[in-house]
Amino acid sequence: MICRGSAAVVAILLFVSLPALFALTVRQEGRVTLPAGVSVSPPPGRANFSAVVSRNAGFLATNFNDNVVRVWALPSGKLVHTLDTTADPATKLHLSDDGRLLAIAYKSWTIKVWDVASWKVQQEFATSSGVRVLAISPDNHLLVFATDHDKQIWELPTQTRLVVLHTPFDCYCLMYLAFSPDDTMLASTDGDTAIRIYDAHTGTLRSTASDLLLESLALDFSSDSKSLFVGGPDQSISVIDVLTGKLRDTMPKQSGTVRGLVASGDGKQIAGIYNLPKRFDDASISVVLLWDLGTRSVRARFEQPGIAVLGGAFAGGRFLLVGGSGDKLSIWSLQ
Amino acid sequence: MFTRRAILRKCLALGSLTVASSSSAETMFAAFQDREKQLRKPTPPNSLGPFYKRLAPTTATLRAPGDPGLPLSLSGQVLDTRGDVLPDATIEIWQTDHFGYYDLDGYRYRGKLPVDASGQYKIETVMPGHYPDLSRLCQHVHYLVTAPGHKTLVTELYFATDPAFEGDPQKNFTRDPGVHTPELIRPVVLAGEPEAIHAAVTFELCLERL
Repeated sequence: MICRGSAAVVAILLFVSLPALFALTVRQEGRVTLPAGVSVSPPPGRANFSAVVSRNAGFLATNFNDNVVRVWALPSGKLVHTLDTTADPATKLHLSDDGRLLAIAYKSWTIKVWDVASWKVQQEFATSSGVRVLAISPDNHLLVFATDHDKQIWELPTQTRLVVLHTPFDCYCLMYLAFSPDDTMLASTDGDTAIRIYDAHTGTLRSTASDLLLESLALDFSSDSKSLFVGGPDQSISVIDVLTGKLRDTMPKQSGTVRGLVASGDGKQIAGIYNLPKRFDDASISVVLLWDLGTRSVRARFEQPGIAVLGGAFAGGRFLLVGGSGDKLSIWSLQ
Repeated sequence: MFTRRAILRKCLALGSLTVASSSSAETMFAAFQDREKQLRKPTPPNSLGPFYKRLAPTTATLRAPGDPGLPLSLSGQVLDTRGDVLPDATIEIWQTDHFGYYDLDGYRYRGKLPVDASGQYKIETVMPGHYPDLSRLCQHVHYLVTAPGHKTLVTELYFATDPAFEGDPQKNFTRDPGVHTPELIRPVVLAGEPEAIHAAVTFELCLERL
């Protein structure tokens, strides 16, 4: 018993000290206490929980358990805007890469695109059913949203529908979408483990990645738009050749479902957000690994007891990540 | 108020319906009505979930000797909305083990099989467990059903005995946010001696034509 106990203590010490071993620097940039009753962790049955970080690391948009959409400035954590959506609850959020636009899908089957600076609705769209996921292209020119039945690509300035892409079957699928940094491609999961890469303006299928055995729950393109990073319950990050759809590489497997991927703008790193244990809740305990794409090795690791990571973005040579526990929302930088 | 028969007669008179049969129009009207009555409601779809894994083995026996959990037989028939048997259908199922874990590395409790000539299937497995960290989600078995000329069906089977339903699935099915309709909840039949008890559930699957 003593031996087993000692071994357990050593194991715990090693586990606890792992962040210190791997992380170059972890710094807390901001900490916010949410209003009473508001929690970073979604309560049971709360499907509308959403938190997104703009790619430029300038803003965070959240929709916790009180039907209030909040926009926060990063890294300070200063609250910039609030929007009470009790009358028509928000279901999904997306911040444009530059943080200028916030797209909100509502329970009433509408999408409103808000100008973050003026906090006015810039455009409004009606959808044919509930929106599962939505995204804005890096140049703020295209909006894509997916329902259980189709995906639609709209041109934002003219509010013109460009393309309707039908899903393989009605399945209440978990869908994920990502535009390429050069705005030419849209990658999508469709519930059949394949990832399809479309021309973002015409909807023409460019390639299909069909080598994966399990669903992907996170997608992001490389900065040169030539590779697509994908991850999911197989607990690893795979690299797909965009041109051919073939699997090019797979990062060493970890112990946790990949729930978020963020590629750095310099093409050298990718941040993987892994949820522990092997579950898919949005607010499980998280580990963030920064992978060096050149050496395929972990160059930094973030893990704090009880903390769920909501998202992150690369900015100025560091990775800014947002997470929390209970009513505490925190911002850290990882370098 | 027109009867269905009267409407069909009018259609015939106006040329919007043609009877191309040696049988009388009245006989064909009766057959038409009978056939319409047989229309079945397609099985409601449900989530594919993130744990579907491609290339599952072809097998009807997912349970291995000594596996923990209540042995469970799943059976049923695959039909279309007109009640026609679909003998070319293929069923793929996946579920957690008794403890609520999916096998992501291998293919335990995953399998696919063709139905027989009468559209019947039977699978030997165990009662799936609740997700250990998401006990609010009910025990379920995922189905992916394909048949040439028909819409692929992705759905889930739930069990009326699940504690979440407190014995009244019609009333309490919404306690699991993933259960969109009580139509996917099936009664459980217990059989065998106490020392060798096993459960059986019948789940008929109805596909829509393309």
